[in-house]
Amino acid sequence: MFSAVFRDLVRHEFRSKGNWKKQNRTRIPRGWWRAYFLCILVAMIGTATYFALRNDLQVNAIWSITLGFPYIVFFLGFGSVKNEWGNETYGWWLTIPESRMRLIAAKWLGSWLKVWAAILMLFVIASVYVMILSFTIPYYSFETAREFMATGIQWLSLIVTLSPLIIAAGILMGILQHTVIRPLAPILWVVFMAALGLTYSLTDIVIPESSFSPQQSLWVSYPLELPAIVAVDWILAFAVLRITAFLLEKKLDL
Amino acid sequence: MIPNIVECHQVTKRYGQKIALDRLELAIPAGRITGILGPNGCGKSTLFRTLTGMVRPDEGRVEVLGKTPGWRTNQSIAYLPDRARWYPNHTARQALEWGNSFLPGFSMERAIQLADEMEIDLDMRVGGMSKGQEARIMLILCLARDVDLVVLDEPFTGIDVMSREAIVASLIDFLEESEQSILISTHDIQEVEGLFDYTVMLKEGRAIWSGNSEDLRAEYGSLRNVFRKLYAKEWND
Repeated sequence: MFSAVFRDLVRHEFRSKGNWKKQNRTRIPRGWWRAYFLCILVAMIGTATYFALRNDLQVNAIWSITLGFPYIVFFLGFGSVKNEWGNETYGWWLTIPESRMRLIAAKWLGSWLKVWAAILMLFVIASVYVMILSFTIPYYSFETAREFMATGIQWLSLIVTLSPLIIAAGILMGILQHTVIRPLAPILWVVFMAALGLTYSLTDIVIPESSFSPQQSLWVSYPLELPAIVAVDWILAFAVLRITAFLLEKKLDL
Repeated sequence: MIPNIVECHQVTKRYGQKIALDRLELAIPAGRITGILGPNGCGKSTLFRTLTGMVRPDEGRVEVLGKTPGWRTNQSIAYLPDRARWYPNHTARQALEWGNSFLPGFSMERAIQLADEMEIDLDMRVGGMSKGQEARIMLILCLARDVDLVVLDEPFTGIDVMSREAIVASLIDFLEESEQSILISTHDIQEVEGLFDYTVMLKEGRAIWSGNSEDLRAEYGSLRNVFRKLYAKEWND
């Protein structure tokens, strides 16, 4: 599985390949996009700092900006396939002379690495911000920052470890629409969207409510169920990828 | 006897009510430049997708290079998909590197030479190119491969006249040197009339004529006349 070609496939999936639909819209110069991003970032930091200065900012609430992550992760997997059709590059992708499992696994791993990259970046930025708060505002201590990071590690590692199945489900949905069993797609959309909601129930098991309470957070150790949940998630992810590879090989309807 | 590079026996492919290939019987000899001709919707692209293993026939048997088509046989097939595009964020060089990474038999040296001949700036982003320039890059990805079979599905569709001429000129140069078997589908015969030495005429998913292009011309005159006679209804539409 881990040949040089597979490594190149993953690298290809990890990089931004662009999107013709976005390309064909009236183009906004890249500098403007950077400016928009900076404005939003400054507004978010400014708002948080305003509340921090009034001693009203419960730092753990910052992690709530990641609450949409399970859905984002799903659509990352879905988009990795959808873009091949949207860009009309699927003919090139499908005729790469590698096993369908490798093609699918490369998309999956490329998407998972993107999740890792996004989460690590977010964790570093948020942690640095809270560290600065803890050094500059007397209300916050180093302990606040340490507990903030501990909660972040727990919640974000939950997303990272559960995302293999979520990405695999997204990829399956992307492929399913181009197979002979596409009539199943509406049902599976409902099932997957509802199942994603369950991710939030898992936080009650893994991170107790107290972690997000107005009081200072406490380090909470992972419950015993977590390894079992992760193991099931990974086994199911592999099964979903296998099914997707089968559909790609035997049931495509182009 | 020359072996066949493609064989189809009673191949049927349906899309719902529509029959794309209808009990197709076909044998294409190896080492020829074969034109797969016919109007839009006659089954050309479905045939090529079947040959590259992307779709499976509902009935019948297909062989390409003596084997059932699948991802493994694509190691020996260079395929230009119908209405294909390339990734807009790639530069031309990245597109060629993609070919070098994933396409067996791909020669980077040959690809760069072809890009030079076709006046492609390797550092230009595909997103900023004309359709003709993009089409040339995709053609290079096929022509720079040393494989047994080259399959080009409608390589001239949606391309301006200047680029068409450039592509046809490159194809002629390539075909003069090449010993590969080549299948080219088109519904637009004007530019390519002289390219083919073997011709297959498809209509409604069936091969209504196949054989040496010279025999076809002897029987009907120019390929334009062939189209006019064999596809009288489509021609008048």
